[in-house]
Amino acid sequence: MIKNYFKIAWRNLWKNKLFSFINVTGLAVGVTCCILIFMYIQSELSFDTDWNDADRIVRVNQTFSIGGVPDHYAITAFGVAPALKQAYPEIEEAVRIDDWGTETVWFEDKMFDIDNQYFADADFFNVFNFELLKGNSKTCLAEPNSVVISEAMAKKFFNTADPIGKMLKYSEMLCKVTGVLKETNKQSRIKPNTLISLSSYGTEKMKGMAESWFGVGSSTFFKIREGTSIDQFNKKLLQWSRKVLIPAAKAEGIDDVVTLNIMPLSETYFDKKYKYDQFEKGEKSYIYIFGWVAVFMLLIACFNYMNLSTARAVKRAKEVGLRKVVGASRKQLITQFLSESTLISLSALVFSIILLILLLPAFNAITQKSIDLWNTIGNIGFWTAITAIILFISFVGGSYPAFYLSNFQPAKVLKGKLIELKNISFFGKLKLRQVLVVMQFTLSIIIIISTILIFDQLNYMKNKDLGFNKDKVIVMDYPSGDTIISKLVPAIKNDFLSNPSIEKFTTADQVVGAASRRGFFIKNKKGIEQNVLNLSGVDYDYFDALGIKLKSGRNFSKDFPTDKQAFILNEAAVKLLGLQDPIGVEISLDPKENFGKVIGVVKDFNYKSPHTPVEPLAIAISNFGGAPGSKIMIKVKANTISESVDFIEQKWKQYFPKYPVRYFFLDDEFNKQYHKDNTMLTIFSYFSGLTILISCLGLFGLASFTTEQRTKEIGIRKVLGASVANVTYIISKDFILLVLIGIAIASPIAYYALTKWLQNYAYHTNLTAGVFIIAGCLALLVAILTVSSQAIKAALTNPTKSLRTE
Amino acid sequence: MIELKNIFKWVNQGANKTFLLRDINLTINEGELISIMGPSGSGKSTLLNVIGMLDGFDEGEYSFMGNSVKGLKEKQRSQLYKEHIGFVFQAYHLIDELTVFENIETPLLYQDMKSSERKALVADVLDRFNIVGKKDLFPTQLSGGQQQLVGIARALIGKPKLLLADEPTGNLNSKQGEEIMELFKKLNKEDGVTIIQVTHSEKNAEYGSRIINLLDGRIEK
Repeated sequence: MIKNYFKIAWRNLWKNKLFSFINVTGLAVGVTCCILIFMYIQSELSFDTDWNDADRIVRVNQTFSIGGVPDHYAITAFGVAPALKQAYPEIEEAVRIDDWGTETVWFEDKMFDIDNQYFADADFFNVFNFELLKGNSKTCLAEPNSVVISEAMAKKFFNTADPIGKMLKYSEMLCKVTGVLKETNKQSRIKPNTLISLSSYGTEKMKGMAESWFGVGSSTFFKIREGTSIDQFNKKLLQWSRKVLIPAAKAEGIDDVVTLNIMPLSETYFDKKYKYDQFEKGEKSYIYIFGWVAVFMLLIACFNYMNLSTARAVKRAKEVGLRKVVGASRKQLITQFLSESTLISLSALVFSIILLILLLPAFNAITQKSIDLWNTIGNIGFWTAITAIILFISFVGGSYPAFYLSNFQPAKVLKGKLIELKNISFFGKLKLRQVLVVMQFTLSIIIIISTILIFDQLNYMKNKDLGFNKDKVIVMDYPSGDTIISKLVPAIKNDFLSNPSIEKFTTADQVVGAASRRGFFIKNKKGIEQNVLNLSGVDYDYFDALGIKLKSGRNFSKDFPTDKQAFILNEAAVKLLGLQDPIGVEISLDPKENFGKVIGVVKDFNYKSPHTPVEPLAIAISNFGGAPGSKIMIKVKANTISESVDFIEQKWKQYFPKYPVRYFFLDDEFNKQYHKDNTMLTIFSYFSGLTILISCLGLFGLASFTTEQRTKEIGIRKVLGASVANVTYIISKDFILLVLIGIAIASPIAYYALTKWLQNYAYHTNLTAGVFIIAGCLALLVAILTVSSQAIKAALTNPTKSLRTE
Repeated sequence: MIELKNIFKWVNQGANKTFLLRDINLTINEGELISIMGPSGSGKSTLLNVIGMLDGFDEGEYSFMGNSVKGLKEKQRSQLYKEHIGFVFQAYHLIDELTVFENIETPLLYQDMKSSERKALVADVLDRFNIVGKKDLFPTQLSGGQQQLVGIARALIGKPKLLLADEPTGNLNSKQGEEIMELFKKLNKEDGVTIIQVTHSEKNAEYGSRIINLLDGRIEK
């Protein structure tokens, strides 16, 4: 019996190739997108959940409340880890990690810039159970100047040779390789390329750092004992803060309220509250958006399927009647339709798994993930989801014809006429099938509007006036502290500037876009106040070269020797410090050292991502007049970029034959910040393209069905003198109306949701009517093209042909 | 075998009732070959559908082989016609997606019969109707007469006691029609199948043992 069902199902599929193709393709694309998004979300949600005892690993946060305004940090003072471990038995392990960022590493004549270099406590592996290919995890970070390197890095430097015992050279130290990390597919925010023993800081520096509770610098992680409640422990931490931190602050003359708390490591990936997180972060709003897109895709695919199946069911009415006459029971007919529906959804599933295998590498490349299909396929959740999807689709797709058609009186069906399906009506005139089309287009249009807006927002951020000029600026950097180069910088500068195509040459400690967080002491009438600002070390002509505008006061000048200790603040810093008249205020990094005067205020320039508002910044001369900063920024004239680059390369080789020439363009580097947003936009564009594709497939199917059903009507109209345009209009207008209703419903929903989304951005574009108009026109245009192709085809058919079939 | 007493059937058109069948009294015994005649719209097909239980009626008594049809549930009713009645249609009503063999086999599928048994029965019928060579063809590949032959084969595969034929020759040319009528006659005589046919053709009606004339839903005496 079942065999017979599948046989007829197969023949039906085969006979109506177009319908089957649309049905299966639409479903397969929908299901594929759903699965991809499912895998993406799963991977995003699984950060740091794979460690041994992952649920017991927590991060310590430190909060400073200055004047009652709390400032939450994801990093803590250096002394927090050892002090708390001693005080509380609940802490099984305590580990500090300090992200060093990207640094140049040498081995013999090889030299690479390596990112994700961390300093870490010797107990690092007790919390983060990385596997070691070589070396002993218990001892490898015990000694100062020990380094554990990643498998990839080992390959880069030593190829197949044994790295253990080799000496890697950093600009200021030598480290002995004591271990090699095994490549892992654990999703973790901690992705070290090197782990350098924390003791490499040197005992003196370590001691100095451990003294202050207020100089935050390291990420601190605990493994707490089983059964420890985070809330309870946070209460204890509050008590400890009151007992130790706050009195210590008072003793130093600071009014800050300093407190500590812990949060599960797995929650830190999406956290937005705590600043200065040293590791990769995720964006939770993307997860929600993707989740919705997945649901939308699946719904659209299902609606499609239902629409096409019900449309086709009319043609099957005769078969149903006949089967009833020869003895089929209602139950048997329902089984038949449902098994047919299951066959379609199963073939869609097979198709979509093939698509998945083909698309996953591209998807991984776009999202920069390493999702393994076979890994996911082994997951029970995955199969539950897939089974649920298939059952859902089979049921909704098959139920309508199954239950509805099987209920007919066979005599009526067999009377010879093709019976009209009585459609379930909604809202008076709209029929079920039309409601489904409207919903399909509503969802598609929401996705299109979102895509346009994301694109708009991204452009807005990229083109926003950042307060400095990032175009045609070439950045070169050399290892900071490399005295050979730094001594030559003034000579290089003169040499470079002699080339007419090079306009400006300046140096700084960091590329614009980065700055280091430092504690400052500010002299005011009440005495000395402490606050936290970002610090950037620059050269005298920095503002000039980057086009940063002065708001008040003056620029650094070589005419004033004291300018070497002076500071220039940005507007945000003036606001944070509450200075009425900032010029002349004395500030310092160390209360025991000389204070420097504030000589000027610059307009806020957005030196970090426009995701966040401009942060308070103090600018000083690099190393207070010592060595120049290690980032060289060269502004070149328009249209001379390639010549300039040639010139720079050639000169660099002349000066430093041993060093490779390395440079990048400031705007490129700046745009890297939008990497996640760009990724998001790319994925979104694909998905929105696909949703509209699926919707159109459905519309195409329905249109061709309708024209087929109305062949006789069209024939009669033509005989009576209707023109091709006339007939096309008659057929198309119903569908176009549905799309218009879809636009009307989608617009307010999209407006509401997207206004909320935009609030995630400190600087954002506005949602204008234009976005809706573009999206609406796009949907309409595609719909018109889809429907009219069928309508025109029908209108061009010779009426005698269509009437003869009657 | 069949007893109809005071059968009425109507449809409501606004406030008015339009009668399709009026006061039909009819007794049909086993082994008869009956022709129902009448002009278009006189209720021939409706009467046939009521007898075949494909359609209901509004008033009166209908007893089929001793069972009162009125009180039967849909399921019991379909059980009844599944077992005892075969249908033949003017438009053949074969399933286009199935081959000749499979079309004939379909009724058996709904009778929980083993595959081997089904095959044997279908092979038998194919043989009897001389259409073994056509068994793997689809209906669209056959001529009208051949299609109707398949339709009759399908109606007979369940070994029904009653065959209901709604203008079985209506779509056929006279030679094909004659062949079908000869077949009916043979089935009636040799196999004892009771046959009720609706027809327009006087000539075909002559094959019957009795002719019932309908006019405006009434049996003309």
